Formats: sequence, structure tokens, C-alpha cells
Amino acid sequence: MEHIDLDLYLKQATTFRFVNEAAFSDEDGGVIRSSYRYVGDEVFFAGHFPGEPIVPGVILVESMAQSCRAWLNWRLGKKAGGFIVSIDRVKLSKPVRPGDVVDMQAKPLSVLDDSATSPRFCRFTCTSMCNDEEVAKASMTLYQSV
Amino acid sequence: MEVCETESARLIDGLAQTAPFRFVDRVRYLDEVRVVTEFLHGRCLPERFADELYVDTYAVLEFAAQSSGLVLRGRKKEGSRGVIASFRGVEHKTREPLRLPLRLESRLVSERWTLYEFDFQVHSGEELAVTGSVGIVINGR
Repeated sequence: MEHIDLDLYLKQATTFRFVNEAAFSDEDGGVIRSSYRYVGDEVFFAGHFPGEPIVPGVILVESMAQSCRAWLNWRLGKKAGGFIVSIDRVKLSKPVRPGDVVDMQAKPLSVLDDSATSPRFCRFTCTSMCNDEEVAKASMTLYQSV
Repeated sequence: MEVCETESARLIDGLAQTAPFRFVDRVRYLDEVRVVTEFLHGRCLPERFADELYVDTYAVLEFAAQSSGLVLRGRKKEGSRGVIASFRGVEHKTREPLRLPLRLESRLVSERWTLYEFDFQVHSGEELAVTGSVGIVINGR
């Protein structure tokens, strides 16, 4: 299992980084494993919702995308830019609250040319679990500018 | 119907989300199945955007959901709330990051029990920037 150094490979700063740790292993079925603990002082809780903080579903999507982005940049060996270029499907099934830990798994579905010098795309399927229950599932494609 | 500035402010005030997680700045048009909104200045965007004017996908998704939720205002009981259940077929039409202002049109296309599905289009200037669908469930209805 190789740990991915998030400071080296994610552009998002700590205030908007929703991955605490990430690791990848080819022997583990080629799965990216990552997690994030929602401490409760994240800026969005004040507005979502006042008096009843719940992690916005779109932040769960962002968190899964950041895990995939960290892996993509780790493969490339630099902190490249990019964004989610398409989402086939996202399903949000249960609320996540302050104090919850979300464990994510993402599987890259595209074969990448690591020597690529042109922009590239990678499709992933991702699952987020919290307290042994699935809270979100996504199938998305990330664009990486090189 | 077209929405004046005062009514727009009232509708936005009625959103369950508040700053710093509110992405609708102006409501232009609203009826029972269709809404047109604008995301103009990004005052509510988290600080990562303080020196960058581009808008990331998560904010566009939330903008679409908050805007679509306005169509459901008359279908909610006291204390009930619309929550995002799904996104489907979201496509970024350009290879450039999105910049404000954004204009969104969303239309209710299906209704099953408490699940409402909307198709939305987001324009950045004159350019079609993002399309997709969002499903919203009304909890506690």
C-alpha cells in the first residue's frame, strides 16, 4: 500500500481539503482508499443548515473527487490542475454529520499513459461509507490538465 | 413569471441554506415547473476562491440544487426540507474552469412520490457550460 502525500499532490488547502489520508495499491485490486473526518468546524456547516449541521451532498462528491485527483496527480508526479468533467451518476443515501468519519474507495477505470504530456481524462467509480453504511456512490470522470 | 428584485430577495431568504453555503444571488423567473437564477458574485464561496474567480463543480451542483428547490417551495409542509438524492448525466461542456457570473435554468421533468427530478443548464456568459439532472427528495412531507 503506497501512501499518497496530499500536500504534494492536492491543490486544495486544508480549509477546503476533504481528504485526511489516501493510499493506493495495485495488489489491493487497484483501489484508492481514503478517509476524512468532518470535525465540525468546516466553514459550510454554518450555512448547511443553521442549527442542524449536515455535510452537503456536493461536499461528499468533492471529497471523492479530491481522493481521485490526489491519485491522478501522484501518478503524474506533480500537482496538476483540472476538474470533474462529467458525472454519470451520484446517489446520496444517508446524512453525514459533524464528528462522522467517511471512508472512501475509488477505482480508476481508465488506463493512463503516465508519460502523457497532453491533458488526460480518467473515469472512476467511488463509494463513501460512514458507520458501516453507504452514504454516497458516484461514477465520474476527472480532467487533468498537464 | 418574471421575478422582481424584492421578490427575488424574499425567495432567497427563504432558502434553508444560508451563508456561507448559499449560491443563488438572483432569481429571474419562477413558476411551478421552471426557474431561472443567477450566481453573480460568489460572496458565499469558501475562501479557497478568494483569489480565484473560477467556480468548481461542487458549487455548480449546489447552485443547481438550490435553484431547483425553489420550484418545490409550494410543495413543502412546515418543517419539511428538500435534500439532494442524486445527480445524473452532468457534463462540463468546456475545458476551461467556469467563471462568474453563471445563469441557470432548471425544469421539473418528473415527479414520483416525494422525489422530484430536474434537468438543468448552466450558461457562463453566452456559452452553455454545464448540463445535467438533479433529483431532490422532500423529507418529512
